[in-house]
Amino acid sequence: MFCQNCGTQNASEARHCMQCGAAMYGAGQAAPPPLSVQPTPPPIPPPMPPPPTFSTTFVGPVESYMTQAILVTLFCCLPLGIAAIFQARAVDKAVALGDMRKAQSASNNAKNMVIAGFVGGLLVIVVSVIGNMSSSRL
Amino acid sequence: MRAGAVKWLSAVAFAALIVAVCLFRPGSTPLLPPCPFRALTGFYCPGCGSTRMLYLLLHGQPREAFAQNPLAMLLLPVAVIGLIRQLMPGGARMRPRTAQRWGSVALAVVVLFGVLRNIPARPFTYLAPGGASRQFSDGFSR
Repeated sequence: MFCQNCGTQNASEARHCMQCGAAMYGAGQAAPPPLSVQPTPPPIPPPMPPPPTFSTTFVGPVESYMTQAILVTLFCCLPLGIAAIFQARAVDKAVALGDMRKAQSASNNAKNMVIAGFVGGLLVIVVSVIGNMSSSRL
Repeated sequence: MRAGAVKWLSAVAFAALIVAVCLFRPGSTPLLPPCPFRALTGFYCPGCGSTRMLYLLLHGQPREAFAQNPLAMLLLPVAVIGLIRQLMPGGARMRPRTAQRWGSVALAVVVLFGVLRNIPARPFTYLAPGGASRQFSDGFSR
């Protein structure tokens, strides 16, 4: 069975796509209406799948911020970067298990750590610039 | 902060870093400060040398760049593709299908790299900043 959102193949009994986390529907519901032989008007796009019922906050795929986590690890602030990679991993894990609430909370954690790491990196630059200005004045 | 803002901001920050590295040599300006982790603890962090890596790479010295931080050089295309993917509409569809395992692999590799490059013995010193380069080009100290 293929995900209607991203096209990834999933197990037939999967309730959520292991790739993007979108809710999966049974084969009967997912199958497009059979094509008729008569000339038909241009096909109507299939209706949007109903919003998932398991969580009211979930909209669309959950972002893991793995890219930002790696960038923070390499260029900003080491401990926060590692922690953010850890959270990004938790996001993908929770999405794979279909636990969207957990995925969303890990995603928020990852986002906050990435922002904190970025701010930390900026602070280091600010301190460095101020320190340089005050030392060159001496 | 909204997720979209984080994505744009990180792309802008990375672009700013590239511009800074094009204009200045790391260590010559307070805008490109040395690693705070190294300054505080004396140990190399997994990211130590990555700014110098970027600088050397953009100044046509890929070998010296690799010697400054091999991991950062290998992760650079991953990060660039990741940033582009996030900003493209429908970019999530381009996600590699092995995404779930990536996190564990990245975590293990980064932590292991950070530990190994601090071991002051022969094979591991190649992982330290400048370790694999014969001469310390551009006067970067170890």
